[in-house]
Amino acid sequence: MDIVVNLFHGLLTALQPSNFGTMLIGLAVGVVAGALPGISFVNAMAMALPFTYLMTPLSAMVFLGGIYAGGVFGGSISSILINIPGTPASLPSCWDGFPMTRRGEAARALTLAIAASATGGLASALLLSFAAPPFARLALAFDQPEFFAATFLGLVSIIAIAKSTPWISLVSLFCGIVVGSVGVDPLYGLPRLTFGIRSLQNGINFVVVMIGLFALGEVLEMLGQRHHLQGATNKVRMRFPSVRELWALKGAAARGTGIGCMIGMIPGAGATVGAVIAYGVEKQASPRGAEFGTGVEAGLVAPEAAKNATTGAAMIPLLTLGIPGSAATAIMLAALVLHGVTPGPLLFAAQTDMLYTIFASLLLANLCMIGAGVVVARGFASLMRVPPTILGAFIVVLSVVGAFGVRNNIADVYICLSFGVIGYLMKRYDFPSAPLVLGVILGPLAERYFMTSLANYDNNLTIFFTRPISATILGFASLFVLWALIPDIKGKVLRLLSGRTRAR
Amino acid sequence: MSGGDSSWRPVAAPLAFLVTAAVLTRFVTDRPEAAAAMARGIAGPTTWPTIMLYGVVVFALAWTVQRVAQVLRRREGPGLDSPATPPATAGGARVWLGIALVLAYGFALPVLGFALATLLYLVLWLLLGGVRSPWQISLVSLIGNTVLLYLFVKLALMPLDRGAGWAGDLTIALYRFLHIY
Amino acid sequence: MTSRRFSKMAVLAAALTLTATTLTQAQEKYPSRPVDIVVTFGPGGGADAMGRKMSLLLEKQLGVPFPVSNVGGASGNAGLTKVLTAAPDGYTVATLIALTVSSWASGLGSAKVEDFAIVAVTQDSPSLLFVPRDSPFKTFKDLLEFSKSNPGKLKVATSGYGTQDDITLKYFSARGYKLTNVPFAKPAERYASTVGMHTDAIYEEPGDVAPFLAAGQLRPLVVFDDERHPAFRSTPASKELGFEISDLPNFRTIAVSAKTPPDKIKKLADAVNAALDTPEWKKFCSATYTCASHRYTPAQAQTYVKAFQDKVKGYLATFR
Repeated sequence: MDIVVNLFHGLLTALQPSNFGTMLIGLAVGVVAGALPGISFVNAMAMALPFTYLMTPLSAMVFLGGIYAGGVFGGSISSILINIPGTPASLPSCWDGFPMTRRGEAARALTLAIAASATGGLASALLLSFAAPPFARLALAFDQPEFFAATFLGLVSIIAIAKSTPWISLVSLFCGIVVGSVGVDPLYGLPRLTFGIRSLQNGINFVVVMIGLFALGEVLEMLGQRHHLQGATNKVRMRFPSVRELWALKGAAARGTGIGCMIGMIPGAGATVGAVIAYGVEKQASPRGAEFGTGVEAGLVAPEAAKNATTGAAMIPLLTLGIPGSAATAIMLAALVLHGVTPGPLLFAAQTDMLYTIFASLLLANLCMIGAGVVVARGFASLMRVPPTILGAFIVVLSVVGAFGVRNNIADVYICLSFGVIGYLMKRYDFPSAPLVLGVILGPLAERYFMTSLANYDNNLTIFFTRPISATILGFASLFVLWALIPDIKGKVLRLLSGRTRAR
Repeated sequence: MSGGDSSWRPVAAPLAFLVTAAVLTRFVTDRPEAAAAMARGIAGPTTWPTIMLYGVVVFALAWTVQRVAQVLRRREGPGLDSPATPPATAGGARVWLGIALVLAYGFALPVLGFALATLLYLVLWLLLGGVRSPWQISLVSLIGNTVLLYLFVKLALMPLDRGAGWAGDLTIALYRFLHIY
Repeated sequence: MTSRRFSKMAVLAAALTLTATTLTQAQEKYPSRPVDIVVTFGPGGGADAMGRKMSLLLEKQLGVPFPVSNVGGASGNAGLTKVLTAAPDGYTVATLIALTVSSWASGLGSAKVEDFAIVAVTQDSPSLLFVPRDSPFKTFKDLLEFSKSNPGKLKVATSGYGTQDDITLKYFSARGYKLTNVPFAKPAERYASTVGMHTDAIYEEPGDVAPFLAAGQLRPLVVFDDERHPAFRSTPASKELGFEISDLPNFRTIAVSAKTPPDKIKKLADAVNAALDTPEWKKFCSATYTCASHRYTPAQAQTYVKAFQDKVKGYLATFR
């Protein structure tokens, strides 16, 4: 087995103090930046980019890979502890993670999240190490109709997530898609819904919306109620769940990991979409699906595993084809290009040592994440003892810096602040905000894939149903809608099936 | 407020969404003739947002119908709570002050620069949140601000606004004093 | 009491401002503090690579850091807005590329060439038409013949409608070779679609698809230029095949606000041109097939960009 030998050599190089240290620093930076509300791991990677100029290409990748793996997890710390997603991908972790904290189970929630993230991350790093070339070929077989179908599945999973108010959630979702379409159209260059405001031409970025709705909205709510960050102030002692407890959640973790690995390879989608779909699927698959949103372990574990499972998968098209699918991998590409390294099939042949060291580092990073996660989570838990006013003050500043940092544009700060006010109002009037954010994330992707599909397939709308992969995904999506909208149907179908077998 | 009057209130929100979205479908672009000229095949640059706005209209309509049905049902037999009643929150005035302060902070950024605006904002926010100790206020805002500056301007090299005119000069002087520049 | 405290504060503020002003005015030397490079696209693309390479080289030339900030959005217009609203003191420079200039011609943004002083043209490159390795088309002639008998059947991946890509395709359509434009908003998805054979060809500058060329996954069929490309000797130029569509090169420039003092522009221009002569830059630009074919003074660069904008406008008017 060539791969095992290569990976072993890579592991030896990755464990050299300089490489290992770089990875650890990256990991720590990632977890902290991810956990800070407002600052996302993409922010942190962009900020780290100038530092990678001073490194070798290998260290640069190891460093950025560490930030990536750590940052994707880190966001969940603030999701679980203060109900503010540290990065967009951690949004679903709020839904069942924070209720656990409110019950006084913050430590349990955090440990489960760390364990699930590490599992998902490790699995996808292994996938990257052992199966990158075949998976890259698979990724190339996908075209725009397949991407559209996958995005559609993401949109549909929102219906599954909506608790008891499907119409309101759908209004919220479509509002989000409309918000996402503001700005210059990506194909024609025509400004839409800008009402003559020039800064709206740049479009409304979903990270900015998310920071506004969740971080600012939450802080304003906190100011009104003067409520303390409840639950989190209880000592967050790290109790590792027993092996049996973890094993009981293997199904959720496996489903999350599988979904994450697939979604990670789709360009543009990334960790957030993976986590959301995993949550939606888990809600259907889990026997406790109806209780989701009240602090069910499976509802936390599945999206956690999924979002970290996207990390390794997202690096497959980057390293094997030279195609970055997400903002994070685009930054990695920028770092490589600046060093004169162009990723692609040739890199695989010519620089095997470097590649396998990167793979090994990613494996190590996901292992070390357990330690780093525990340390940072503890630090954050003690931060929660800071009076809420002071904490809120800095969350606002970090949100402003984070919104600015997305594109270094002050207009994004104004948009973020506006959504802060909207977010507060939505909270007060109990209008669901998660579908809106997901609409802003998925809407532009769906439009792009839809329009390019039409251009490439002679304006033929049936293309989405006649291409096998796309049709399969859309089939899943419609099953999803049926099961979510008519909860009884699942039982009926099952009964019908069992009835039939009995009749035979 | 009379009972009949307030009982129709739950319908207001979905109707507002419905009407706004319907009106917006007319204003997707400032240059409709350009958009029409650009369109190729069955879809153009305004197709997607327009369809999505109609999506809002359709689902807001369903929501309205649902609310109307609820109101009618409640009229027959009272008991159900309206889901749209805002929860009475304490400190509503403080929240609106907070919102005003946060918005003012945003708009002060390009004028005063990140350093000065953040300092002012931190002080005012702490006062608003009920922190009264001058020591606490000055320590938190000064140290916090300095740490933020080192982190984001010095280390992360973010091009945060320096402010216009005298504020810009002051920021640059401050950065030099802190050895950021 | 309060008024006394207030007047004290006022005096303090005034004093601070005075020191600040004198401090900044004392520093006449330019540049004496970091200069922001606004890259008008997100990380990972050609403009980003140019901006970041320049950042490293200019720091060596001028002795102050040149931090890069990516301000993407609206075909590069978002970042330019930022340059125009910043003080024209030479401490904010931007990347200005052909794509953004052609977006002005098609009516996007409200900036125009006159708002900017072009410091230097750092890169230029003709575009090529590439097909996937296993494509049935061996030459550009094959492809054109196929398109003549199967109008619209051939799908060409491009960066959008109303761009140089679109203009070139329309040029061929007007001559009876109807090619279908398949626009992709993200470059990475565009490359993947042609490499994965979901589209028949791709219109692109060679630097952006260098890894696929190196791996042999894409084959060049034609260079849209007067002469053959030195790196692709066996690929014919459009002119030798009888097509006059060589005047839409991809270029990248460094620009500042037009209100920037001329001495600062000159200092920047000298530094950028000196950077272009370093072996480090030469290695970078030959790896990305983007070495500028000429050196321009700021005035010449200005004319060059202006001429490009007028050309695009002219083409768009013809093909409307």
